[in-house]
Amino acid sequence: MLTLPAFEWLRPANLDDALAHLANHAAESLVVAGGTDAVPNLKHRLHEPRWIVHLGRLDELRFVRESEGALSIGPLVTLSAIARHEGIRRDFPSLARAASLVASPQIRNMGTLGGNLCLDTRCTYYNQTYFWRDALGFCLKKDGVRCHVVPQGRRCVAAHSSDVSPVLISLDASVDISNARGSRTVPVDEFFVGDGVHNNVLVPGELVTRVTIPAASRGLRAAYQKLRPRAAIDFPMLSVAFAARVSDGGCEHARLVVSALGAKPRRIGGLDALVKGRPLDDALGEALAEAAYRQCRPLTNVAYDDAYRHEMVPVFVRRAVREAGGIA
Amino acid sequence: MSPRRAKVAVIHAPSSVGVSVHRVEGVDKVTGAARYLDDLVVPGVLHGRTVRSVVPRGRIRRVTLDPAFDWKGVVVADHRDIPGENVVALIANDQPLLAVDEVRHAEEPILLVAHENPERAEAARLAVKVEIEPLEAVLTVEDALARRALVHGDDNVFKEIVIARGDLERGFSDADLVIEGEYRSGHQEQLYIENNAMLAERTRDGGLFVRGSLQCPYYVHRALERMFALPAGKVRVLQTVTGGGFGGKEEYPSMIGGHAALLAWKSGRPVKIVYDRLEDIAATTKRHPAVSRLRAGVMRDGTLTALDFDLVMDGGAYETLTAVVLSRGAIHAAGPYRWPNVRIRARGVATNTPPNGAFRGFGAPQTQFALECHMDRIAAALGMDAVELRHRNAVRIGDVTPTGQVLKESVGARQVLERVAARSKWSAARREIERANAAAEVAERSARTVNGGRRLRRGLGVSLVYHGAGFTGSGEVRLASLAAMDLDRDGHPRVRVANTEIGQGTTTMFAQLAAEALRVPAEFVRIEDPDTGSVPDSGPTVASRTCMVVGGLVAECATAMRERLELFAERPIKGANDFAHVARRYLAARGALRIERRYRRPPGIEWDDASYRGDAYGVFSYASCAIEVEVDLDTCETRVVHVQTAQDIGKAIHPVLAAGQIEGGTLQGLGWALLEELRWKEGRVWNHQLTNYIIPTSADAPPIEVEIVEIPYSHGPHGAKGVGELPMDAPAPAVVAAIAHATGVAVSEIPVTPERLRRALREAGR
Ligand SMILES: Cc1cc2nc3c(=O)[nH]c(=O)nc-3n(C[C@H](O)[C@H](O)[C@H](O)COP(=O)(O)OP(=O)(O)OC[C@H]3O[C@@H](n4cnc5c(N)ncnc54)[C@H](O)[C@@H]3O)c2cc1C
Ligand code: SF4
Repeated sequence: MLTLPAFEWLRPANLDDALAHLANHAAESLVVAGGTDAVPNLKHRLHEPRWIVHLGRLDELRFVRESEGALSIGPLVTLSAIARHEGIRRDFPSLARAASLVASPQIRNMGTLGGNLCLDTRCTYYNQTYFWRDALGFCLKKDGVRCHVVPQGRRCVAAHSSDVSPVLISLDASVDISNARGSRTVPVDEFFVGDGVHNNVLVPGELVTRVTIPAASRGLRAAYQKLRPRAAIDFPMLSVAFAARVSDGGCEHARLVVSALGAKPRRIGGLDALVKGRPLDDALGEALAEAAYRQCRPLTNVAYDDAYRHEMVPVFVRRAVREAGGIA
Repeated sequence: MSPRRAKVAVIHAPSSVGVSVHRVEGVDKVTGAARYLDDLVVPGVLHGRTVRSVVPRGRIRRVTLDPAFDWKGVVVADHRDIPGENVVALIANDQPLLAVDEVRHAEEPILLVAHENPERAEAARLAVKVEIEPLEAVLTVEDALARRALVHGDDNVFKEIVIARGDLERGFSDADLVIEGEYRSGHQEQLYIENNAMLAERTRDGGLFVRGSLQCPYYVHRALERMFALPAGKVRVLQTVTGGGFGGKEEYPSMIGGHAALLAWKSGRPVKIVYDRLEDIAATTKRHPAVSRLRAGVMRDGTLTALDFDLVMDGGAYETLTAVVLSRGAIHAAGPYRWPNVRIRARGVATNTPPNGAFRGFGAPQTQFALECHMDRIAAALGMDAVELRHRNAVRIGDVTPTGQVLKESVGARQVLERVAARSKWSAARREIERANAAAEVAERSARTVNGGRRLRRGLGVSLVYHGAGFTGSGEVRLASLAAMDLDRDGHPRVRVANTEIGQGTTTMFAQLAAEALRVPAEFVRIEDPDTGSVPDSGPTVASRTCMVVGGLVAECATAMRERLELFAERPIKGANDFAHVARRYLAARGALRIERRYRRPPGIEWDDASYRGDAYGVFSYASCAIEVEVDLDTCETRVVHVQTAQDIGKAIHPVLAAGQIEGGTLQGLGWALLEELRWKEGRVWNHQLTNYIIPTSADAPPIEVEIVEIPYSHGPHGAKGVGELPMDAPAPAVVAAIAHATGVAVSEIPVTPERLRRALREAGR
């Protein structure tokens, strides 16, 4: 049987206690919210912490607040709650949709927004038991010095696999990050870094305490498209989030995010020039698809054909643009 | 109660057969009271782990126990500790329990460790260092046939079978058209919910008591006798509640049971070995991959004249069951059709991959997949409708199979096809789909948007298959199954058979058959646990034989028991209370009552093993599927929209359970057709997790409409034939046909993953 390693179980009663513990012991601790990512990874011995810090009792991190200025969501809100929240479905349907496409109903009932943002990157060489990683030869991401996907590479390129993050980037969301000394706010777009070993800007001792979507994003035409092998359970093989501001004079501005290919979601560049003043139609979809195809380079980090995933980039970009444009 | 109804009740207790009574073990399973092997708490138990080869082929140079590791409390066993023969006895006794000086496949067991603490046992496993000098490995059927390295005999062929009937040359010269094709199918994992798990203990009398998740207690029993040089009476094997088998617990439990027993033997402590999913997928048996090359002759009017079928199956590193899987595959290769001239050549080859073994269908899904794909190719070449071609050539009573078997009764081929054609409104539905596909194409060309911009095409495909029930050829005669029934002290009847409940409803079915003959309600009948200490050898729970063969023996036992008791009482027995009353009186007056019945070959069934001629099976079951799919031309994803199926199983003893077998088997067939693929890396299974070896989820399951057709078989209980494997044969070719209808491209390899379909469409210039 795959068993959990031995650890001490901490359930801090409030955020301050949690941060205080992490201030001294971050390196030996693993933060767990819903545990749907952390527990399988523990069983694979991808983490061997001395403490598990379970956030379950931090009710202060479980909220959805709608205000004039913004929508803010606590990191402990579950994916099911996001998928069914009326305000989110009305104002940010692509977010509700992305949350509803994660895994399965049971996992969405446990899995949280914070956990989804901080989801560990995935790779066929990494999501294996200790024994298998040993036999394959350990890799850069854990215990080793080489990358099996890009043997000459110096960086891990394990796939960012969160469904919700690309949508948050497309909606110009930001995250509040706290540690025992204070907090800071970073755009989700700058939250991720291109290193699969640790693909976000969190430093030891920090927690995600809030996600905020600005009110300005409310009127965006937005969409989320996910390619997965089955109708449930599977992580994305490819994901596309799109959001555009459209007025009578056509598109003013757009964001297109393609993910599940490399260590961080890729924001397709040069978009504003491409979309400015154009209607949100199939011709624009085609242009964006072409741009995305050129800028994306799938790797053999997951068990699906990289050439196929590359070919699917334009298909899913076209679909996202159609969905956003409400083109039947 | 009206007097009339009372009178009816006196003469006939309410009938059980054909009624979907409650499952005997259903409540326990639903409430969680059922105890699977890993739930058993045994004082002093050790947890066993298996040290395996990480290379597909090599010479073991050295095995060292890391001196830095604390070995206190760790039991270590290797081949030198085996008291008897180092062999997992089966059909071909070529597989060692533990490797000696060479390994022939990755994951081959080399050494065993056990410790009280599972964590320590796992650590001990990792502290064993095995040095293996790698040798050139043969990993594919092609490499085996090309003798890239010799890994078995002088040709890498475990077994060759030739079945011939008629005059092939003539058949081809009679043909207007000769059509060729090659078809491939890969490994498939059984993926039972409960992984393989066994528990072994030494007994006070110097024997062994082994329990576990298994299909065939006597297979394990006999294997243990050989490994431990014990007389039969010193070995006891008990099946615990088992979470699924699908063939995957036919032979492998002898291996893991032998391992647990060896550790128990050496340590004197009970030893449990429970695989996790990764080990189970990587190390245990799979469906045999197959490559089939077909040449078929046909006349313009659709009459089949000749079939030349060349089959190669990948047996893996040891022969184990390959010869019999190959044989069933070969016998079914021509499908339920009239072929006046046939030649089937089948070879099972050796590769350095874990031995492939039993899996629902046992070779027949592979060959009928190829044959049915080929039938569609023939229909396309003739410009003939796929149902019509099949209907014209489908077997009827009096027709002869390639082994020379005359089909004497219960031949439902045409009926199931007709039912499926009618229920799917075959011709109209095909036309409607073609119109819609053409309209979509026109719209797309003129850049009009349909289907939300998705280029979707639908398709409808059909298949027709058959499946022989029971062991092949003289297998049942050799098994000579024995079933027994006796009376408990409180007067309840007890059925004693070695056949196992593995989720398919065996115990409920036995209870029904016994109850029907005893004229008591099914819940009055008790079914003894499959324990070789208390049940006779009624043969393995495989080959769709349990109801037809063993169920028949149980019904005979029950009838004989009722007759004996009625003779004793000198009057008819009226229902359960009366039965118990008479039974108790009998026990008091005469002592124990035990009835036994042994399998006898039904009259008129002959088989010759040497020439491969005769009645391969007592009877065949028949199935047809019509499957509708939707293919997305942009992503090349296939979604199964709907399945219509009709299956002639003789008689559904329990209609809900029978339909459950059909629905489950159909879904397993759809998984094989579309999703399930083992990925290998240097001879090791790469995707050995449920996140990457994927099977259909409930969200992927289409509506499956089942019609059970009952054309009774005179030697089956109440007419029953087999149902367990049949449903696995039909779906895959119907899916391929439906995809061809949707896209115009007939793929020849499954699973039809989006990547594979995309390549095929590209090659066809689409
Ligand atoms: C079978 C299966 C299928 C899945 N499929 C998908 C899928 O399709 N799409 C998808 O996106 N995900 C998928 N997941 C992953 C996971 O279920 C989700 O991403 C989920 O949202 C994770 O949330 P959690 O609360 O369970 O995270 P946890 O497991 O509790 O934590 C995940 C990581 O985030 C960190 N973390 C959690 N909360 C915080 C916080 N507030 N601050 C800082 N760090 C934090 C943890 O330390 C840990 O490293 C799947 C998981 C499984 C087991
Ligand atoms: S991308 Fe390379 S370094 Fe990262 S997990 Fe995969 S093999 Fe390891």
